Amino acid sequence: MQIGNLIFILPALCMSVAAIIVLLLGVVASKRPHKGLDYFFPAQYAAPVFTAIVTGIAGWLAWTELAAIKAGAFTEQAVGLFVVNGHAQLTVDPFAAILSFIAFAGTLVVMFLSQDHFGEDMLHKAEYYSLLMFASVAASLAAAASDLIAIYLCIEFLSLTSYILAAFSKTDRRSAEAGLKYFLYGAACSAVMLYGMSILFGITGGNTALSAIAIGFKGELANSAAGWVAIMFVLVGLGFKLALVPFHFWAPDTYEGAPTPVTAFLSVVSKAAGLAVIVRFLTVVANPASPASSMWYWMLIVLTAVTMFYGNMVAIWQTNIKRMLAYSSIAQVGYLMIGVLTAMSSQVVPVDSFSAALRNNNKGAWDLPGVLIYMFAYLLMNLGAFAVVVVVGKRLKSEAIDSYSGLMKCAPFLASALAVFLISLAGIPPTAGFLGKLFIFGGAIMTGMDRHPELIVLAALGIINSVISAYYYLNVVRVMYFGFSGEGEAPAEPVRGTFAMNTVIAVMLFLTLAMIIFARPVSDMASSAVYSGLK
Amino acid sequence: MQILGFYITGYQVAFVILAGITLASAAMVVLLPNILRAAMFLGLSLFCTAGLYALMNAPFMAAVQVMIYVGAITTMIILAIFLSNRVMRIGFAQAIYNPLLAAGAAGLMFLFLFLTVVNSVWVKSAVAAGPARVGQDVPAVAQALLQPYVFPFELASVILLAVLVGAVVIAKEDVDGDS
Repeated sequence: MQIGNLIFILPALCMSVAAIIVLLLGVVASKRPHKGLDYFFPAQYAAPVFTAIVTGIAGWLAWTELAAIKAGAFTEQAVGLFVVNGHAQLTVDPFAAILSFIAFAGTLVVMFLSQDHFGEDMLHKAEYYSLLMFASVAASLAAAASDLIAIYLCIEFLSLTSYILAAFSKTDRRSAEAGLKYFLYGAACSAVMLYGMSILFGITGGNTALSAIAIGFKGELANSAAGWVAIMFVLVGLGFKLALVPFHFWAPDTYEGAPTPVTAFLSVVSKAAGLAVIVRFLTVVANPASPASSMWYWMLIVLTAVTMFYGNMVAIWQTNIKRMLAYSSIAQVGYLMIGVLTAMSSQVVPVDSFSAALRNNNKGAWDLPGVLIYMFAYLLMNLGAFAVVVVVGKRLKSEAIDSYSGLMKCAPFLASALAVFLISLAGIPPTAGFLGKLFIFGGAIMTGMDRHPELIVLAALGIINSVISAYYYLNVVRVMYFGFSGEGEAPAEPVRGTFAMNTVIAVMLFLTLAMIIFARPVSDMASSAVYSGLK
Repeated sequence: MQILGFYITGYQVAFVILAGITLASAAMVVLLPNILRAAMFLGLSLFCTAGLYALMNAPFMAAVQVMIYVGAITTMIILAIFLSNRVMRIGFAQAIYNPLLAAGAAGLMFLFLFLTVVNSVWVKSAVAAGPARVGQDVPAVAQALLQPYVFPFELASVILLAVLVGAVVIAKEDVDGDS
């Protein structure tokens, strides 16, 4: 391996160092609270500064990779790190680079949310921010992991830090419950995933790299009972990270009990990492020949449909806005999975690597670009919605949807921003969510017309679910604008966010609305990230 | 040695004894109401697993298993039980609400996995099929960790740092009034 290749994980390396610096700053600053270092450069300011720099580096890296691809000077070997016997353990292709940028950007927003939510006098604040930074390192590495050991370590790193973050409000019993539930489900699911990985390791003759496994995992082996068990067990672990039904049981309680910024982190950054891993795993390993012949393809189609319906149907009845967003984010993963399944079904011949899978794919296909676009849109609209929930929740001391009644009168900016974010989550034009759904459902229908009719059914179910979700998303908008069932009393005092929070919300609002204007460059960028280049 | 017409090697006898103790003590961990005794049996179960590794010609794994799992983790669990004396005093009712159903589900899962393992073809890798290299596995592991697998090795150290910090934060008793 060449040292120069380490530049591809430069953001993750910088972030690890920065996390340790924040930890040390905390030790020094805690000696004299509110004075000296704690006054001039406390953890809650140091962490976002470092994260902003790292996000910049990650963005620059993704940008230069895209530029290099346009110039045609790019090979998969060039972006492979820690190569063993010709198989890389990390592959920082543009897909990974963009998802890692999304992870860092999401973490940056979560830090602003945390500043507002916890305030200056938060207990163990240096530890909290450095754990958040470590978690983002894990997410960014998971996006590039192309080896079973790397995948397991990254997923486990992300999970372990998330358990602690979910239980961080120690005075709140619900937070402890959130952390414990997440931990117990997570431990069980990761044990199952590890068992599946060990079978995969055994039946392919002792390989851990995904591309090496793909070479051995073909024909009879892929259709054998052991192959089936191995894939299903690995999918259990990944399904847990994504909160796919039936591995979602932890999600509602954890999302409701965890501190709101942590909930935002779990629902966006953690899912981006899980999504990256599942895309790589499904397109490379779990795709022996034609997907229609593999049992897990059909199983995933059913699970995706059930996930969408379950998330939306249960979200309708929620009275707590965090819990509603939790269930709705289960449904959102269902939409993303449609894109992943479309990408999987585009394969007609077995492949040995992710880039080979992409080369086989139809160059104009919308599926994986759609996943990237939707993931970015989801980052904007979901974090935006959580930002408003943090501001309002802190001022009103309530997360009940009822308490949003008449918010339009006392906080017009926050109310309209939340309305836009929710409209975008429902996928109504002219918002970012609409663009993402257009690509994902459109891609599924195009591939479905070609050869996989089941994808058209899935897209139709997705559209039906978007209509269902519009009901409960717009219900919040109705409560904010017209009050709640007669009883609606506007809060006595005006609700105002801090300058920083208003700026963050305004930026997200602008991007949510602007994405559709820049639809062409955005979609060009996403498809060149996925399809062109890599030889 | 020949028993009841079957030819049995010492290896098989050792395997059956070790596996038997491993399973029996693992069952005790789940069934015993006293958490301290359960922890002791966990140690025994892990110790016999180390014996199984040694039988499979992996002395390094066996040593690591004894040092880390038996030596460190079991001791930590027992220490944690002693330190939190509330747990010591209350009887720990194991929450198996429907033992029949649980046993049935676990049994079905076992049958399924057992049939899967028996019916699959396991490819032997070159390393496993080669001659046993007694005394060479430690250098080999060290080289693998620091050359091809340096990324997981380094990542694991970062994970340990983050988790240690987290564990301290979660376990620390905070002074009242400053949260």
